[in-house]
Amino acid sequence: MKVWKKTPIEGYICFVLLSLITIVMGMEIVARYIFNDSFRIASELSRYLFIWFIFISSSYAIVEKTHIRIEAFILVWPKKIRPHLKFLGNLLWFLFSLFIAFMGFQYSIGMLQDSTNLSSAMRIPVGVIYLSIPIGYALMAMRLLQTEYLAFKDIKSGS
Amino acid sequence: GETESSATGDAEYTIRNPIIVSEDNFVAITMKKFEELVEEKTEGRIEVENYYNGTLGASDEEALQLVFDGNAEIFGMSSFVGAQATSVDGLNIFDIPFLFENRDELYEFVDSPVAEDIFTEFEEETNTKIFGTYDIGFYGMLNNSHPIEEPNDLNGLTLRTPQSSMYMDLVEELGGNPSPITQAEVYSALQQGTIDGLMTTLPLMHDYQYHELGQHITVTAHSYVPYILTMNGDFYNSLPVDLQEAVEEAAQEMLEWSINYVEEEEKEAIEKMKEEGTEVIELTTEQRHHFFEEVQPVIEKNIDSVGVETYEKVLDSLDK
Amino acid sequence: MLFTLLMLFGLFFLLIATNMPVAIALGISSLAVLLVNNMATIDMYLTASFTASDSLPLIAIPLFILAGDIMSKGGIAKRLIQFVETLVGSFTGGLGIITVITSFIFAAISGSGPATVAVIGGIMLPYMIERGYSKEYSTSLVASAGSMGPIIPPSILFILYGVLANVSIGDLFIAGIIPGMMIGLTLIIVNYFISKKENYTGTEKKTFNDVVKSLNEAKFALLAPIVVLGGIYGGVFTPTEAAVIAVFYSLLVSLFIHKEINFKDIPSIFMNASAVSGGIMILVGVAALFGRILSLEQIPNQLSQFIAGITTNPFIMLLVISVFLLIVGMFMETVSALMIFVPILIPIALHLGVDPLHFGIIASINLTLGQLTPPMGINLFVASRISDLPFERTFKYLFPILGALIITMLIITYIPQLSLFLPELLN
Ligand code: NA
Ligand code: NA
Repeated sequence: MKVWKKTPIEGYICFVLLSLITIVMGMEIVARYIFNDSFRIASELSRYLFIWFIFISSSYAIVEKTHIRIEAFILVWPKKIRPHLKFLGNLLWFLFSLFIAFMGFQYSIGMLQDSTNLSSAMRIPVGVIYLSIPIGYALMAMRLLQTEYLAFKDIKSGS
Repeated sequence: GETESSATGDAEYTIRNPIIVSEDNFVAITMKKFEELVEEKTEGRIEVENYYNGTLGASDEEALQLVFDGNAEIFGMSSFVGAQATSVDGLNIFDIPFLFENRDELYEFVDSPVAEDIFTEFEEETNTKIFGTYDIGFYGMLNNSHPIEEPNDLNGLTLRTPQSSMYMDLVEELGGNPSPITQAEVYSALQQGTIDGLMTTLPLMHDYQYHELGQHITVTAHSYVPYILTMNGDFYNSLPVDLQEAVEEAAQEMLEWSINYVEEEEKEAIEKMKEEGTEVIELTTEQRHHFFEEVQPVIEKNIDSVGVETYEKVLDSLDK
Repeated sequence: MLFTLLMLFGLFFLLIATNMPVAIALGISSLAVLLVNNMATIDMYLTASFTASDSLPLIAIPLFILAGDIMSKGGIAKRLIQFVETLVGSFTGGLGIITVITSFIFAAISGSGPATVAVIGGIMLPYMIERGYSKEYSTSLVASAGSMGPIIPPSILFILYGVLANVSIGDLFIAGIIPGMMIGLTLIIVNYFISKKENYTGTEKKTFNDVVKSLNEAKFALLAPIVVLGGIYGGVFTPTEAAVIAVFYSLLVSLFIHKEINFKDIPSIFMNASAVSGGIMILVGVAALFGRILSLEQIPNQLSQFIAGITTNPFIMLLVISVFLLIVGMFMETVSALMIFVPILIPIALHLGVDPLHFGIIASINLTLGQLTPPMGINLFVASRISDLPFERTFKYLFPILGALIITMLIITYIPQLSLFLPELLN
């Protein structure tokens, strides 16, 4: 099944985020040992990049099929109904993601409209970081839809 | 939530109280006092559920957010967390180093019109009810190299500070090297020499046994972190008047009790650490003034976080 | 409490049985309970997720995964194996010993079981089979050594436990050294007896020159764990910073010394590590909400009282907890199992007077042991896939190995000093 011919956008974003985390933290170590100084925003910046990384990579994990599952449990059901159960599971996952994305957008936007909740080191609105949750979940919903669609096309084309 | 008083179950109202520290930490003990007082004064019509060890909110920021969202009813918030989560920058005034001469001066200020204005601004912005302030002890500095008596004694020391630009600049200005590492790593870091010392409250130095690793403690008292007992406004307003009064009364008693309690804890911590062979230096008024002069650039640099206008009003009200 | 527990776990297992990811199943069931019991608003899902993810120590997890990926592609594992072979290859069961030792060294950096099995197994399995070791035994040994490797610090499990129990991750790493070595030794001893019985002789003895030559080849590979672990224990950097160092070190060695990867390969290596991390890290926030719900329902407290009512004998209680974790590990992957069950068990263990450091070791070993068995035995599945053998056929060897490991685990459980001696000595 040659479904994912090219790397999805999440892959590139994760590459950038993970590289930035590594570089920022690396600079902090160098700053401390070589210049005997602390790079003030390092800890907060790496944590915030990391939060974005978590929610974007969880969407990427759908494409790469790396989400942790307990494969054995589906084996308790008769073979015939397993595909239907899998579909049901994905549907619930999709609805759940949409729901969290929706609630998360409302919550983060509310926070940004206040825009007084500022982070302690960089003084940026914390809502900007909260936004990673709804965006991550919205991407997940999109990838689930795409996966189902491609699987459906696959069945139809009879492969 | 490890609470033991939830057995009754027939209370009309429940106050959920997120507590970050463990049950035997004295921040938690003051909250137990609150629980006891509220339940006694309302004759069990209000139940207080204390959630220790961060099981309801794992950080100060999260716990305060819970109160704002109505997912917890009360929280003892530290002043700087309140400032960070809102536009009430005035709450950062308590971070100005060496500002208050002693605890009496702090509490005099807390009752002053200047402070009242700051608290009211917070209540209005966040729809909360503030009962008042208490504190968890004054800050001191501990290190394993030499006694700190003069500002330049910090020269070359790597000190763990809270992740706050004011405290980090303070250490840096005096020639030290600030390191805001995670609390859980402090003990090992001190042991392995990643840091030479730290600043925290006296009772905590004793509780966490830091004094075994750094034998020079200075009671710099450069800061008293006030804790502000803050309740969700909708919840408070939903209470019948008699219960509001009972909660108010319980809160006032708890605050007064806590302030006395922390004073005793401080004295006891100092005594015990001295007995165990730690050198504990208390700065004279002149020495503290000397520090205050030396850290003026730090205050200037960070004054925007407080607001120049507020700062001047405070100085006025303190006659400084 | 009973209703909530039934609803929470009932729904969770029903969802799991649709092959839904653990994190999502836990999220949906937690949210359902939150709404049905009207305990808090949905906002709590967001605040808990945010706070739990906002953690510096957790950044070490994707970074160690990344370092492991770089090392396997950069020829570090291969050189380790060649060097260890010149040392012990000539002994009875020599290739088995190599598998154990290199799995442990490799796991000491990568912190991940399946990665270790894939990398070491990818090289050792064909080699062992070619040298006359049975497929059944080779697969069992590769799976066991790879599974147990992550007990040797730095370990993802220890990082997570440190964050959950609020204990020093550095101390946990130190506490894990002796238990990790005991487990390695157990595997080497079992390997000796099986090899003797099956007559798996060693390869021919290498000359001193061969040893020096392979040592020279492998010196940067061998230096990797020394730099990372030495840096942590020497107080040069925190465990999180050690993960950064591991990434830079393995990149430098792979790019410029071994020259087995080039800059073009870097994006795909980073992306692979991101995908693996994404499957794990999403659990952090969800498990935090789950923890809040348990707490709001007073479950850990009541469960602890309930268990204390059954027996107050700490010896038996610890056994009950161990067996429970072992069974959990049979069904669940370690990271999720740790995040779901350990917060419930920590208060009970502390109540029993178990040192939180020691309990971290006990919990991690038990959950890891469970990874060796079906139904959830990812390391076994990876190894079976490499050797192209139905995994059931490994049981003849796998069960004796598991038995020996359980005995070792009991020794570690009941002699706390094995875990606590080193941290106390260094402190
Ligand atoms: Na603010
Ligand atoms: Na298993």
